Amino acid sequence: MSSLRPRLIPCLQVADGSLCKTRRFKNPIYLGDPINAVRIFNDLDCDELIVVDIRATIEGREPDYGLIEEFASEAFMPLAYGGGIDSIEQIRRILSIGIEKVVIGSAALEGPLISEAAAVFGSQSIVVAIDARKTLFGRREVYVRSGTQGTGLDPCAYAADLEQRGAGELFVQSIDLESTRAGYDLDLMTRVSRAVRIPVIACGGAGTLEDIRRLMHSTGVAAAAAGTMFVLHGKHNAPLISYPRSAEIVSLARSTGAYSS
Amino acid sequence: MAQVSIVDYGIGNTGSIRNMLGRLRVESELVSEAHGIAAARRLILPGIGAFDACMSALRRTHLDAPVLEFARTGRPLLGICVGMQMLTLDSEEGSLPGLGLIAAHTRRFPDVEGLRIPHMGWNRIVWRDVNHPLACGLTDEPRFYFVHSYRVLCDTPQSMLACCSYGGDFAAAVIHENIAGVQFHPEKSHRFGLRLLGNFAGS
Repeated sequence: MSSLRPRLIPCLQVADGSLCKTRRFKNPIYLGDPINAVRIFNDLDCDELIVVDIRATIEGREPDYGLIEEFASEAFMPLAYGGGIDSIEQIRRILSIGIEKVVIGSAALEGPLISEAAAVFGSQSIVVAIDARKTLFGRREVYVRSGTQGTGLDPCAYAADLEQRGAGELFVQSIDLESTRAGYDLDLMTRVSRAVRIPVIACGGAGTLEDIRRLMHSTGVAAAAAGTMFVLHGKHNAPLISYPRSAEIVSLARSTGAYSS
Repeated sequence: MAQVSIVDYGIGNTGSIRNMLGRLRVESELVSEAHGIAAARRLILPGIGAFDACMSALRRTHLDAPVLEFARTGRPLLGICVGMQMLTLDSEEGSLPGLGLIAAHTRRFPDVEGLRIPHMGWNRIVWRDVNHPLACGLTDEPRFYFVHSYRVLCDTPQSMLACCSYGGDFAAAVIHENIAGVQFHPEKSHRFGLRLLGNFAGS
C-alpha cells in the first residue's frame, strides 16, 4: 500500500484581524499579525495550513475577504479557510481568491449547503468541522457556533452523515482538550475515523511530536492539526512560531507505510 | 509584455498561480481570447475538477484550437493538474477527447484495498530526465502537493518526465518537445513549486 507523507497542519485562529489562541474555545489571547505568521510558516516549509476566523459566525459576519486575499497571496501551501461561511456564493468567492478549501462549521448542520457545495466545487474543496465536547456521562456531543451550542448529535453518526452528503474531509476538534497540551482524544479520533472513509484531520490537545506520533499510529486519522504547539512556546505560552523539520515529519509515519526518505 | 500567460476559460486556480509567479517577480496575465494565446510567450493551462467539465469549458470559450495552435509554435506550454490530463488523448473520467498533445491516457486509480482516493497530500517524485530544464535545482528529494482522483499513464517512457507512486506508478510530469504537464500543484508546493514555476518562466 502506498503511504503519503504524514500531514501536519498548523491551525491558526484569527479574531478581529489578529492571530489569537483560545483555550477550550474561550479566553482568546492575541498574538499579533496573522499574515506575518503565514510568512513565517512559508519560510519553515510548512506543508499545509488551516485558518479559522473564530468570531465570524458568532458575530453573524461575512468572511473577511480582504484578509483572506492577503492570506492567499502569502500562503504558498494548501490553505483551508473557515469562519462565517454559509452560502455557495461565499465559497465561490473564497475559492476564486486562490484558497484551496473551505471549512464549514455551523452551516453544515442542517440544509443542503454541503451537498450543493460538493456538487459545484468538488468534495476535495469542502472540509466540515466537527467540534466535540465530552458530556457528563463521558459520551461526546457535537457543538456548533464556536462551541456555544449543543446539538445532541453523536460525532460518529454526524461524520457518516456528512460523508454521505459529500464532505471531502472532516476537521474534528476536541473542545475540552483544546490548548491543554494533554494529548489528542485518541478514543474520539479512532471512532470517527472508523465511521468514514474520507480523511479525518484531528485537532485539540497536541503538546509534543510524541502526541502526534501516538495519534498517527493508533487512530487511523489522515492528518494531525495543532494550534498551540505551533504558535506558543514554553509554560508561559510565549508567542513563537515553529514547525518540525522535514525529516522529523517523515519519522512520524506509521512504520508500515511505504513513504521513506 | 507578460512573461507567462495563463489560459482563462473559467476553471482553475489562476489566483494561486499568479500569486506564486508574482513572488518570483515574473509578470503574468490571464488570457481569455484567441489572440491573447497566439501572442503568449509561455502558456499555462490550468485545470481543476472533472475532465469533461474542463474540456467542454475550453471548447465553449473557443480556446481549444488556439491552445493547439500555440503548441505548434514551439513556445513552452505547461498544463497543471487537470490541465495536464487535458493534454493527453482521453480520460476514463469523461467521454470527451483530450487535446492529444501527449501520447498518454488518463485513467482511474486501481481499486486497491486501503488506497484512499483522491490522492491528496505531499508526495515525492522521481525525474526520468534530471537534465530537463524543469528539473533544474529540484533533484534533491523534491516533493509536491497532489490532489487528483485520476492519473496519467504514458504510452511511451519518453513521454514521462517524472514519476510518482500511489497504488502503482503514474506520471507526475509529462513532456513532448515544448509541451509539458505536471499532475501536482506547483502553485501550492512552497519552495519546490516556486522553483518549478521559476524554471518554466525561465525556459
